Amino acid sequence: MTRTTQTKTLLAGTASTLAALLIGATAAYAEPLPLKICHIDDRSGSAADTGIEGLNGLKMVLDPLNKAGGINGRQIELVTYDTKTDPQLAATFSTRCAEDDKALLMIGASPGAVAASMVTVANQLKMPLYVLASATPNLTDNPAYQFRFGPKVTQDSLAVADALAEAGIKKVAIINNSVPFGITGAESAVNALKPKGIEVLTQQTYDVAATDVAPQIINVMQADPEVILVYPYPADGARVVRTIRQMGLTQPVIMPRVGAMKAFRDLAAETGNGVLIPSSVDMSRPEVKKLFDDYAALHGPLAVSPSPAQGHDAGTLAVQVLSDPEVQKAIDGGDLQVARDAIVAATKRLGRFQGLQGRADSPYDLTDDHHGPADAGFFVFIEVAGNGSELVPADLSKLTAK
Amino acid sequence: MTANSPPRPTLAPVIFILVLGALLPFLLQSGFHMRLAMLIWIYAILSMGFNLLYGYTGQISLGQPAFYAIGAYGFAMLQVKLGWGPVPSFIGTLVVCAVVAVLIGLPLLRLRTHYLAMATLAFMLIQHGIANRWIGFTGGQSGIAIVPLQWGGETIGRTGLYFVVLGMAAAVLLLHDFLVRSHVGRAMQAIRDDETAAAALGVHVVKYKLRILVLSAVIAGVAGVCFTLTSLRVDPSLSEFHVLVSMLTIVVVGGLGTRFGPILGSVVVVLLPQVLTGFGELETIVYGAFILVFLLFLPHGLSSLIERRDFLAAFKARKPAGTGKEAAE
Repeated sequence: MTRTTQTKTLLAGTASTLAALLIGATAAYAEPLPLKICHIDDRSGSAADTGIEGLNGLKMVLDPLNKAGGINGRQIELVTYDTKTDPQLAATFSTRCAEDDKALLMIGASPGAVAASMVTVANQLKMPLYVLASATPNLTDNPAYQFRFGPKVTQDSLAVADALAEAGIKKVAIINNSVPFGITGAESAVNALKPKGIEVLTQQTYDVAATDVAPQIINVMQADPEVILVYPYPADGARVVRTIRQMGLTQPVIMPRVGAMKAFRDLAAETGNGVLIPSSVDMSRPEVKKLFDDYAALHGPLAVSPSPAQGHDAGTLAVQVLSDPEVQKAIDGGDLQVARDAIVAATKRLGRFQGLQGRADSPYDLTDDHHGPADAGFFVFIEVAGNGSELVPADLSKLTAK
Repeated sequence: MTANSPPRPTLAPVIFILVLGALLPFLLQSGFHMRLAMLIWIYAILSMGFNLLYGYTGQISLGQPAFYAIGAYGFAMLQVKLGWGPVPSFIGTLVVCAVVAVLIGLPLLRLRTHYLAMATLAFMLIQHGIANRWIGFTGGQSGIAIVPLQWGGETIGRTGLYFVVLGMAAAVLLLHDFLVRSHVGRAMQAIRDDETAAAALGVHVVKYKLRILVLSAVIAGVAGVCFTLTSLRVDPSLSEFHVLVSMLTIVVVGGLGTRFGPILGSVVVVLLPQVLTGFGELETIVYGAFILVFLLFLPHGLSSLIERRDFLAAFKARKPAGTGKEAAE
């Protein structure tokens, strides 16, 4: 070997050693990942109220935490995107969040179609997703990276079936609009009532834009049910309830979800009084009442709505998960996918927790393959009062068999 | 060709666009950017079909999103429900789109202008209703998910997928360009300008209208297939109003009845919402204002800036001769 070759070999060896040391040092002192969360949800469009309330609930957890110094002195950064009830836009924003923003977690996805598209992206890009309000049943059928905070619409129906069975009701009528919420809601009600021995005398469907629902109500009148179940949107729900009362029907009306919405209560006014609603928000719990008082102080008065509680619960769990030592270790390691996987594992580990949604004795169950609120005992009943201005604990004694 | 005739359009800009498209994966920085690039091509494909139908032939069909959705659903359902492979599903989907277009085209093409628009809009609503309400068949609002495209047992990555979409877009762009530069394009424009005069010149109006409707439906189906490949799922939102609005915005911004308007418009319509996210609550208002500005100052769209080489001269020619006072008078 010549002297020149020896020198070259020595230089190459030195360079390789230095490079290896440099790589090792870089790995050992990898920059910790920023604590970044994306909120991707409707803040305009048909589900704007839900998305905005969920975001406000989430901020009620994150803002005080950041003011107090964050997690181990590091602030949580919140990136927000408005999906405008457009699933394709939601998928694009989710991809942006995962690949451009390099966030650790996505929260949002309230409308059903938006949630479905985000679940696809979440599983494709292996990105944890906390779904807020969506009621679509099959979102968590094959759970991997997605967890839900809003109950399935089937869970509302189970709560209704339980209440009716307890009251000895045997005959009901169902009226639903022809949009997916109405169709899925009515279908889930039929499935929940049958095992309880409750007969659906008639199921009437109307177009969401129909101005006259009298034909459907006449059919209900002829069937003579003990209780009427309605699955509408707010405006048509008000038309249905007005028509029911104007045609002299006095049976109790149960209206899952929509009955609590301000738009329905405003439009139905006095005819809305007494409409029963299974609610995942139990205002008799002091901590829940405090949430709504704090919300009112920050954003103005709000009737009972699950959305702020869902946003608050998702934020609370996200903070617990991000503070978890295993997750912190993964974040400090600087590998984004390892951190995201650690978040999924920690969510499952910490997922049995008592949030502000549900009854006091009914915690979330985000463990193993469940990934959502508890199947039973999650709901209380409330009813519309004060010509639509109030939602009060329900008087279920009005559910009496004929 | 006389000395004063405008230069004959060449393939050069088409090739330039396709080369630029082929270079994009090497210039873009993340998978998200690749997704945006794919969406641009998908919307460009959809809008090129609409451009042929409305921009060049004057048949205002608002049912294009329905064919877009049928393409997407067909491709997904043939794979999921019948177990077909991607290639047979692709071919089968295009056949379905063509057959449906013939079936609705035969009665509907008797209509003109806003009557045709309303009838085709009704077709879109029917398709959307079926996708939404026939839950057992279409999956309802949750839609249908498909497995990612594979090659040799390996899932094709986003760059590979981009080239699949680019390949389809290239095929549609070349076909679109060939048609508008050929005698077919001149026949289409004759029908758009005056059906009676076109017929008097020997153009078989009904035959041309039906063929272009079928072709635009098939092109929309191709866009739907590309969307399914990109998003791995289909749902009823594919034929919702926002798709129609996006398509109409593309032709307004890009330029209706122009060679490259669909591509330029798609670039703007896909990228602008991403750029405007910084405006927060004002995003939608800024977006609307932007479209208004286009309508006011570029009524023929972005394409008019590129395709009219004498743009500045034309702009000057638009100014009234003489003083402002004289012009006002």
